[in-house]
Order: sequence, then C-alpha cells, then structure tokens
Amino acid sequence: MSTANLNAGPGSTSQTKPRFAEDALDRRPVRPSKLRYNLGMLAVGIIFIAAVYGAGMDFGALLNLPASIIQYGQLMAAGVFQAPDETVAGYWTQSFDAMFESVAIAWVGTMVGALFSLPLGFLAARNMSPLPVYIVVRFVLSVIRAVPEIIFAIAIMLPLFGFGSGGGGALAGAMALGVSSIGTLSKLISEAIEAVDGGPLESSRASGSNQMQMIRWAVMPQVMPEVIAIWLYRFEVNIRASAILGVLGAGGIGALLSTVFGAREWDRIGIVLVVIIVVTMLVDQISAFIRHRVIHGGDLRSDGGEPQEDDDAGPGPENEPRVENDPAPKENRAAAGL
Amino acid sequence: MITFENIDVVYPNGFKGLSNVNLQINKGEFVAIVGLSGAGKSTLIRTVNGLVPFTSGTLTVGDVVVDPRSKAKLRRLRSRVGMIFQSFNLVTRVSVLNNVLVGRSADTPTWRSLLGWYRAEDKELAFQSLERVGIVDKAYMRAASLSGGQQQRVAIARVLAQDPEVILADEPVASLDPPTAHKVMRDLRRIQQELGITTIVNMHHLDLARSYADRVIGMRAGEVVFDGPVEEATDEVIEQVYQRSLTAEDIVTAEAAQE
Amino acid sequence: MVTTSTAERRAAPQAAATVRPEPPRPSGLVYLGLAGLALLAFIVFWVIQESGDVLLIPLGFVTLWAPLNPVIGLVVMLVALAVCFKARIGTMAAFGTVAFIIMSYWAGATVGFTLLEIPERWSNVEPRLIAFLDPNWSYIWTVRDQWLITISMAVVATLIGCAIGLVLAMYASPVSSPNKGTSQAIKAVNSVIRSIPDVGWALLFVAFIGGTAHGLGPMAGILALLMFNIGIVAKLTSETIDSVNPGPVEAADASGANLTQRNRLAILPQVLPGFVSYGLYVFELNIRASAALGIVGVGGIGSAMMLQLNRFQFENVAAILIALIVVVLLVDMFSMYIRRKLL
Repeated sequence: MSTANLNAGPGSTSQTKPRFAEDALDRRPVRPSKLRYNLGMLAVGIIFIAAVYGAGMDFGALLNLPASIIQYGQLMAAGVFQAPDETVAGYWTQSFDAMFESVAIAWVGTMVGALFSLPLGFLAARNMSPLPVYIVVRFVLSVIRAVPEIIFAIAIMLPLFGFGSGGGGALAGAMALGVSSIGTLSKLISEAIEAVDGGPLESSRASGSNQMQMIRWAVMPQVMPEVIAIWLYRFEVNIRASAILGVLGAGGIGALLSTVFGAREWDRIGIVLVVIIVVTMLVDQISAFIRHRVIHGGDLRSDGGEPQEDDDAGPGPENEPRVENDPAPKENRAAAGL
Repeated sequence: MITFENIDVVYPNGFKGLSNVNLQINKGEFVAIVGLSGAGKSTLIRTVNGLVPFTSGTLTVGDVVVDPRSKAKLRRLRSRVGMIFQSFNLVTRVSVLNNVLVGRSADTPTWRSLLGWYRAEDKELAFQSLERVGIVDKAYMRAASLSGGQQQRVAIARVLAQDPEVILADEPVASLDPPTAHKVMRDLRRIQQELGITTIVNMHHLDLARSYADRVIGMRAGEVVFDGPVEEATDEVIEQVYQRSLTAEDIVTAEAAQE
Repeated sequence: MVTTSTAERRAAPQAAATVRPEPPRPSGLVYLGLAGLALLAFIVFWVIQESGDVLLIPLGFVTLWAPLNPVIGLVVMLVALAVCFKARIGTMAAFGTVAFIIMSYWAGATVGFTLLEIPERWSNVEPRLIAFLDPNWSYIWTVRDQWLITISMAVVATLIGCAIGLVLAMYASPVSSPNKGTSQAIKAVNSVIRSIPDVGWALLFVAFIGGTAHGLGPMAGILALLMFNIGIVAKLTSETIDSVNPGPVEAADASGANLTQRNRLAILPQVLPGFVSYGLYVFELNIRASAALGIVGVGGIGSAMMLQLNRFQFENVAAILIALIVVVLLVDMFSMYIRRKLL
C-alpha cells in the first residue's frame, strides 16, 4: 500500500476526492493525481529557462560585478564621507532640493489623483452605482491603469507644461502621476466601498435617507480610514515613480540622478543615493505612522464619548470579523493593488 | 515518568504562572488537570515540552532533565512529547497527510521537509496513525474541508506520528460539541491504554475528567491544590479547588454523555 | 428634559444621569496653538514665495498690502480650523488638517502649480496627440524582438526576485526569523533596497556592468528589476507572515521541528496565496517598468521607444505605446486568471 504513496510531492493540495465507496472508512485512499501540479511546475521551469535564453543574458557581465561594486562603492562612500567644503555642501543642498521637489511632485500628483478617485471610486462600486455606469467607469479605469505614467508624461504633460525643473517639468510630472494614479486609486477605493458592512446602509435606507445622505453617514465613516491609507500608499509609490519621470525631463531627483550618472561623478552619486534613501525612508515612516493611526484609531480617541463622524480620522472598523482565508491583511491588500 | 521539583514559572511581564509545583506523573497514567481559566493549567502543560520555559526548579521527563535554554535539547525532547491544542492548529490549506507528517519533522532531514519528499516509512507511520484515529480515508483531503472533530483527530494522528512517550492535550475538546467531545476523549483514552502513553489533559468539564481520567490534579493561582485518584475528586473537593459552587457550565450536558 | 437650557446644563454637568451628554469639546487652547501654526506657516510662505502677486486691502485711512498666494493659504487654513472647531473635531485631526494644507501649499508652490497656461500651450500637445492617435501600425511587428527581451527580463526578474524575496521575508518577520536582531537587520536592509527607485537601480547597474548601449545585453535591466522586486515581495510577504495563524506554528514547534522545517511546513502554506498574488503583481509592474527603464538604456521595448522618441517619430512611439497597453492588459487578465485558478 505504501509504495503507492512514494511519490507524493510537496504541498499536495489537490482537492480531488478519493475514488471509492463512502462506507470504506478504513481503507487508505488512492493518491490523487499530481499530474497537473507537476505539469505546472514543469511549465514554470521551462518558461524560466526560455526567458533566460530569450533575454540573452550575458553571464560574463556578472563576473566583474563584485569587483565594480567594491570599486565604485568605495568611490561613493568617499564622496559621502568627504569633508563638506563649499562645493560638497552645495552637492548636498542640491540633492536635498531635488529630493524635496520629488516629494512635492508626488504630493501634488497624489492630490490630483485623490480628488478624482473618490467620486470615481463610488461610481465604480457595484453596490453604489447603476450597472451601466459601473461597467463604463470600470472599463475606463482599467485602461488608465494599463497606461504607464511615462506615457502620460511623454504624450501629454511634458509638451503641455514644459521640460526641466524651472520650466514646468515638475508640474508636468505631477500631472502625469496624478492622471495615472486615478486608475489604481479609484479601483482600490471602489473595492473598499464594496466591502463595507451592509447593515448601516440598509438601516439608513430604511430610515428614508437619500443616496447622498446614505453615502455621507453610512458609507464614508466606514471607508474613509481605508481611503486615506490608500492615498498615503499611493504617495509613497509616487515618490519612487517620480524618479523615472525626472529622467525624462520632469525635474526632481530623477533629473539629478541622470545628470550625475551621465557624468559618472561617483562622489556625487553617493551623496544623491544617501539623500534618496534618507528622505524616502523618513517619508515612509511618517506615512506608515499616519496610516496606522488612521486605521486603528488613536489613543486620544479611547476616552472620547461618542464616535465622531469626521472624515479625517474616524475610528477604523476595528471590530470587523477576521476572514479566515484572507491571504493578506487589509493594508497589505491595498499595497498589492498599487 | 514526569517529575516536577519546585517548578516556578515567571513570565517576562512579571506574572507568576506557576509557583512551587511538585508533581510526579507515572508512566502510562491518564491525568486530567482541572481549574478555572488562568489557574495555570496551560502553563503547567506547556512547561513539560518547553513551550513555556520554567524559571526555577528541576523538571525531568523520562530520563531527560529539561533544559529550557538549549534549543537542540528541547527539540529532541519535543519529538518524544506530543501536543494537542484546543484550536487543532492544523495547516488548513494542505492535505491531512501533510499535516500528520509535520509530526515526523524531528526525525526528518531538513532538506526532505523543504522539498516535501518524505521517506516511505514516515508516510507509512502517518497512514498508520490516521488509521488508528479512523480517518485514513480523508488522507488526501484539505484539512480545511474537515469538521472540528475530524480536525482534532487529525491533530491526534499528528501526535501519534511522532511515536510519543507523552501526550499533552491543552483543552482538546473545548471547541467541540458534546458528542464529538466524547468521541475525541474516547480516542485519547483508547490510545493511552493501547500504547501505554502517558497522557496529560487540561479540561474544564468535570464529568469528562471523571469518566476518562485515572487521576485528577486541581490547580488554582499557579499552585497544585488537589492531586488524587479520580474517585477522590468529588464535587466538594472540586468546589474547594474552584472556590465557588459548581454550575452547569462545568459539565458537558447529560444527554450527550449517554450518546 | 427638553426644556433644560444649555446654561443650566453647563452649570451642573454631572448633576443627574438624565442630563444629555455633550459631545466632547476639543481644547480651545490647542486650537489657538494651531491657529498660531497657521500664522507661522503664512510667514514662511511669504518669505519663500516667488511670485510677486500682491493683494491690496484698502481700509480707508490706510491701505494694507499682502502677498496674494500666502494670504489665500492662510485664509484656507483658518477657515478649515474654524470648521473643525465648529464640528467639534479632535485636536489631532485638526492638526492633521492644518498639516495637510501646509504640505499641499508647499508642494503646489514647489512644482509651480498652475492650470492657467494650458490654453496657450495646448498647441505643443496637439501635433503629438494627433500622431499618437494615428499610430504607425506596421511598426508594431518590427519590434517583436524587443518585446521578447522585455518579457523575458520580466519573467527572470520576477522568478528570482520572488525566491529571494521569500527567503528575506522569512528572516524579516519576527514570527519566522531566528531572533529579533536578524529580523531588525533584514528589515533595515530591505527598506534601503526599497527606498532606491527602480530607475536608480537601473542607472547603478548600467554604470557597474554596462547597458545595451555598450553592447552588453539586458543584464543590468534584469538586476535592476530584481532589486526592485526583492524589495516589494519581501516587504509584502513579511507583513503577511506577521499575521499568520500562530496555532500551526506552535504545533510544529511542539512536535520538535527546527526553524526551517517550521517555516516550510507551518508558515509557507499559509502565506502561499498572498505570495503568489504578490508575484503576479510584481510581474505586471516589471512589464511597465521595463518600458520605462529603456530610457536609461537597459534594453527591451523601452530602448526601442526612446530611440523613436529621440527621432521624433511619434507615430512609431504611439504604436509601441498601444502595444504596451495591450500587453499590460493581457498580463493583467492572465494574472487574474491564475489568481482565480490557484487561490
């Protein structure tokens, strides 16, 4: 009997039912076929090898990688740790200015996206809008999501607002980020709206409130914390995305990166990278703190009497039952969608 | 044989889990530990396999002196001490068989676990364990598709696959309905008698303790306040342990007991 | 009860249980402090402002003047504060509101936010838009090799990145890592990896080993995507590990499994659905990113697009972009299919 089970592979999660009579409770079941699982694994392997071949990877290039990492790493470290004389101090301020400009670009972009995403999110939520509207809005959103932000930048925003930090490039970058943010933000917000607890909706409808009143008093208090968290996530994503637009001429840290890499000034590259890391990590920390506070409610709230209905920081849906098979916590799902 | 000598457990937050516990549990005994929640039942059970490290005293399991600081020694000890939990603690997304094979971990090379390529004899042992609890026909189903009682039996099979000398059960039937609770307890009792495995069970249902255990240990505030054969554990004695009169919640309903 | 005047209630707030509770009143002092913050921000805006627009306020005997934009900012802040106070919103939320307005004002001023120039600059966009709406369809097929490279790069980077990301995640989450120190260290390393944008990695690797421009193939691009993927997958997966059901982990511990066995047998099956969907998500990101990374010369469709862009062949660029949209939509559909199939 046991020989039949010799080849049971890893994680046999097949749901095939054993093929024999129900009453034979004490008989060992036939091992379900692992063919599909094995074929799937084989396919992944073949695709991987084909991709390695198809990309034309030159493994010879890897041989020199450790040496050049050490060599250039030393140059960069030397740049970061050199005595800050006037020129070097100038490099630092220039890097910080560029990085702050990137943060500003990302912020304006997120604002533009947020402005449009809330109403669109309601229109794209199945439980809030009529079917034809829902279908049209969903389709438009998925097209927007399919277009990378560089396309908005190249095709519309850069010629519209101009190139370079001084010449409107920053605004162009912000608008490109904003438009492309609309797609994901609206989709995530609509999913959050679709997931709201139906009870308050029903009771407010039962008490005769109209659509707007229902949205204001039954839906908004439930989804607003999550919506704010989604916006903040997008802000973090946009900071990184603004770099690529900068290389195209939209100002910010990307423009500086492409300048210093073009000139291969390794000491300046080191400084720019350190500034990027410091500022990005700082912004991430602040944003994570706010997200946590908005979703889980602050300590100041616990002593307050009535729950408050303000839109900025209403207490989160804490008593929401945990779904057993939810693959990821709520915050995680938002991140995965961005 | 399990010996507790002056065992103290102080949790990192300063809470005293056990204080000065002295016990001797003989090989092959079926011991029920009763007490209100927070009395230290779970702590006592988890001290035996080192899931909760004791802070002072000496604990021997068989011929091994338990050393909570040595991870390798603890692993070797745990391979001989099986544990059953209130919430079954199965990995619900994988098959029953793979859940049972978790019990073989200590005797399986890490690379085999990583790839999931278990030895034929390990699989044979897993099947035999499943046969012993009577759900071998579900071996290839997902654990999630099983009912609570079936899941707990899979958990027992996982413990049996370890080929243990001691079975610890932490409220094994608390989340089951009365008939299923009796079935699971009968399984545990049968296994204890057939294989001579020392079995220590935490429970708050007095009637279950009385009908299945050889010996009852009563705990209150981290101390052992009663220890004696099941006949001596009368209602008066238990009320002494609980420091309150018994209520309907302390027993599984009567009609279920007849089932 | 209804006739009880507010004055009476104020006089004896705790008098009887029948007195209606008042909503908690936010501290006026803190609100005053927030107004001070708004004023401070106004002064800073004034000092750093670049535009010379001035607002004149004739008061009859004297004419006050003030810079236009900062005054607008100040008014917005004070009105927002007043609304918050009226609605009895907590001081923390009010602070958040003011901080939000200050941040937005600063960001708007930094990027020089204006929509007034759109009409006069629209002529720049028109020829491009016309070209984009009239793509050179025959060009789509000529860059199929570049597409192959792009997709291959994405596949390789996704698979290797997910594998490394999974291992890092196991060490990063306190649930599965051997000790707290390891978990903290790996988390720190990972947030450094994540903070450098994909284009930063691409520029670095092109500088390290040379890009396609140097005839060296897409290795630099793959490495850049790899770092980018490791950061995302490791973060998301480690957060998923943080929230796994601890029961099976304890059971594996109790049966004497070692750390690796425990993570493989009790944690991996639980995080697998999440992990797979993160992998698919990252694959989609890679397709878009490799289009963008072509700008810095790492091969694939992005390089072809940059070439056409630099030659002002907008019809060809449009063809590539449309193909890109189609490919991204296809990948999206494919990953939705896989997700539904697997999870």
